[in-house]
Amino acid sequence: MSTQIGVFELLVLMAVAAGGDEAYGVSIRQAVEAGRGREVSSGAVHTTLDRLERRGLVTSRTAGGPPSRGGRPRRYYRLTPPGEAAVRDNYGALSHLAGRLPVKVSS
Amino acid sequence: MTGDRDPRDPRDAVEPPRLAAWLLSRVWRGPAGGELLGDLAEEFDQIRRRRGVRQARRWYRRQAFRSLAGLVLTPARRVALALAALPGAAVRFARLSGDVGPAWRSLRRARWYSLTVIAVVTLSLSLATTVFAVVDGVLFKPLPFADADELVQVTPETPAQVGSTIMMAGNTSVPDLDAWRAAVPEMTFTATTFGGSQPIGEADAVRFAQVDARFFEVTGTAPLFGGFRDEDFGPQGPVRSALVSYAFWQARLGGDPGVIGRVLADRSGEGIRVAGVLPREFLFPHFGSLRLTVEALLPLYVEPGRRANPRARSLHVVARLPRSVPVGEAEQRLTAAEAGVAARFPPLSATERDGFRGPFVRVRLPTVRSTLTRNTRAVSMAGLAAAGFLVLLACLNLAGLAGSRMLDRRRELSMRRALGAGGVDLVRGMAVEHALLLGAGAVLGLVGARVLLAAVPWLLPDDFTLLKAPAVDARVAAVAVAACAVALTIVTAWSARVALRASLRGGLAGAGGTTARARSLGRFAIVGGQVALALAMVVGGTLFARSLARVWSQDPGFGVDRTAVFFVDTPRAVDLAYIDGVLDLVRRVPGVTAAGGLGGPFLQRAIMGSSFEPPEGARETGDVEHLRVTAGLLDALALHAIDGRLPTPEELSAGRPVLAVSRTVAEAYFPGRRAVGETLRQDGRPFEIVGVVPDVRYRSLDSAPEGEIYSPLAAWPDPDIMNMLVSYDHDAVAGMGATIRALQAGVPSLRLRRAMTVRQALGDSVQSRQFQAAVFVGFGLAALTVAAVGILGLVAMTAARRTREVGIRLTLGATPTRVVRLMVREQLPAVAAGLAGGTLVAVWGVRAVAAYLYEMSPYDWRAWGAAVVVLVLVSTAAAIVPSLGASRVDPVQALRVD
Repeated sequence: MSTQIGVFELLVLMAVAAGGDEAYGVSIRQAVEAGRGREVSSGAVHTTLDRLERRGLVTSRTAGGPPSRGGRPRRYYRLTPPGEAAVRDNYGALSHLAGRLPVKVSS
Repeated sequence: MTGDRDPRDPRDAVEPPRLAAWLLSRVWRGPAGGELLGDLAEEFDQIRRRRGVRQARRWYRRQAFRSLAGLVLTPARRVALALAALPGAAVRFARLSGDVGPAWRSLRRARWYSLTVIAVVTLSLSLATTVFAVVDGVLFKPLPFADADELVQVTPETPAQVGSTIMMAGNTSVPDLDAWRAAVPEMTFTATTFGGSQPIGEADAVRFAQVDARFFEVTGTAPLFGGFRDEDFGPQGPVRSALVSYAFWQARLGGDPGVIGRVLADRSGEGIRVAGVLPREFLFPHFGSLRLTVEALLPLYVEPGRRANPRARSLHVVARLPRSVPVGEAEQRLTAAEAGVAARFPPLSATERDGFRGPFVRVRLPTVRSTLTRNTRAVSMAGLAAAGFLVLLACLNLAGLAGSRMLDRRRELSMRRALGAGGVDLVRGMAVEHALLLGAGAVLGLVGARVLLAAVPWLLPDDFTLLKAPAVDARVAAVAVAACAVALTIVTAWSARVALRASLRGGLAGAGGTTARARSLGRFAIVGGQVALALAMVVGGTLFARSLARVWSQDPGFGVDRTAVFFVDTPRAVDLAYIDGVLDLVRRVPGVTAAGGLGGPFLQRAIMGSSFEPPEGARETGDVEHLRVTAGLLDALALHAIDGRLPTPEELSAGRPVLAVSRTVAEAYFPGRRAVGETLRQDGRPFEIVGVVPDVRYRSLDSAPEGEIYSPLAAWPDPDIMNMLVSYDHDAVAGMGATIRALQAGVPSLRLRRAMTVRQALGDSVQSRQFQAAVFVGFGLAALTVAAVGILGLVAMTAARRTREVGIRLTLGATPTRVVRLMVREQLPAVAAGLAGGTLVAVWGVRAVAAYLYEMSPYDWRAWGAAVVVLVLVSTAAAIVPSLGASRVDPVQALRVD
């Protein structure tokens, strides 16, 4: 196993990956929320993104946003190669184990 | 906030909720503050367009709250991140940052488990920290004196006191003191007196102690400001210089810094002149009490006549004994000096010798700390031990619950191991979970302690000397944190053992196993240990409860429900006419059937003694009390003559030399003959015994009567009363108010200290016992609750794990009753072992409290039996309740459970 991450971190990384170059706070939060099926706080997403960035799993850049943001910039995230590896390894382990469970866990 | 808006859409003017946005902008210290607010504003706008303003606002507030709540965990994460930067294996354990969130969510899912653990921690810590906060003020708090260990109370002892626990204060004369000073010049002495009151207004007085000019030098203290002048120690006028206590200065003088020189006096001109203020932490070095604290220090002046009189023994002496002089040597030299005093002066007459004022045969030098805490040390230690037991019980309890929960989670743990988590990672996760629960419990426990401590001043007995007001301060918080750290270590170690063993066994494969009885030795020890500790504490509670019940079953010998006692201070110039006037006034109050005055304490645990000479041939007796009474007192006490008659009101008012004696005195002084008609002498003056009355418990409800002699107050010089006893034709509580109003209106110069029914006064006289019983019964109940919760939780969790097994049993024909019986029976060996272990602990432990039990053995079978029965019932009930739930499962459903 390359990098140990929590389930929530894995979800955030996957949301970043899914967003391509356009993943930012709102899109990531909404993707994680859709994945988990319950509300996720924006603060938790930002705290996690900050942690993942410090661990070198994502990088970010800021750019302007729509007027509804009150002039505050958007921060766009994308996965680094270690981040991609972390998603691959952790997701792989989870799906491998999920396949062995006596109860069906995936739809 | 929303920048350029589309002017065609008026809804664009809507902004996110201001308070939530403002709070976020001010409080959010997490990463990307600007981006967070921007994201929320953007999404608010999207939701507003899709679902309306109200929904959007609700969503925004919810987001703000959740984000800020998450922030609470950030400091812990930062510390964990900092630790994670350190190299080495231990660091892996410290890398907590990623564990707090999962732990929080895991605990939220296991709501009942979390609430149970928090409740156990709250209950045990609130009681334990309350006791520590009180005990800290008795045993550990440094005394507010410089080099306090050098301060000793110089204690001369008569033969009666040697080897006994009776301790006297105020039994030293100036010649004694001069002889001691000459004998041990290395020591410095200060003479004081304690217990007096000086008027400061109409019906208002200040409780004072008197000190000589060396007091501050010897004790190593100083006034906060002001001080005595040399001339203050000369002859006293009606207005005396006084250093007032900090509390008095704050409460009565408004904390006025310009208070020096202010005179507080009554109409006759008697009073005090404020010479200074004592520091807040000031403590008078006397085994006094919390309530009878000194409100002022007055300068001590001993009149020349008393100065030369070796028999004028009324001083209380404190000294500083340098460490260079061994205590034993100093005691020997002082004892030799005291022998010199006795040789130089004529021996005391029989009437002067009341057993405590000489001749002295030994001088002891106990430290001031030991005398201050002599009444409270042992019971404080016992309370502290009980608090420690309760914390230990809670630890065992939590370990059991946490271990059981780990068995429930073995599948999850196995998966995490399979994903690469090491043993250290799993243990770290558990430690974080337990730390969160213990932290929450500790905070609630300290809040609980604050609430309990508010009631402490009313519960504490008068003789319970505290060196500080009990409060949740840094020391108490530190103890709570230390207790939590111990608990965290025990609970994490145990649950780690359970979890690692479970996950090593291959939880994935075995997750669907049917039997998980966990009849391990460890679990057996946890249940047994809880029962053992609980039994030891419940035995303590039942012993003290039974002891108190025995005290209350004693007959005091006088009327209780219809009689009230009024503790009074008379003005300085009092005479018989004044006392008669006060009593007549009281007798005219509607409902009063009798009223009388007593020239001594009543139910105040005081030993005053008697100066009547026992006749020739008298048997040895205990401390016979001489009570000086007015007309009406014996009627108010509902005393009747069992031989002869009571002294008549006329005889009492006129001060005729007549006596009533109690049965014990009659039998001891006149063995084999009638006491009525006999004579007792005091300084050669004969008094005729006219009647014999029953013995009464005049000192306190729990001190056996040693004999009483009643004489007319009017027969003695300087008559004065300390108490009035008033009986009513109905309940005393109802009549007291009218009496108090009549006294306040009719005799404003009489200061009414306290008024209470005799039943209340009896209760006050055994305050220490009531307090001890409250503490130990409280601990017993808490232990019972904690143990019950622990057993209930363990059985409930085991039952949940065994749903499938129960289903199989029911399918194969077992009845629900048999299932319950099986589950309860499984607990019995541990409970039985716990009872045995607890018995051993308690047999050893109760010896420490044996001295506090009233006329009963610490091995009283009723108290022990009650404790065992209660514990067996509670343990069984705690095992039955969850088993009942388990036995009601639908077998078909149960078999489907994985």
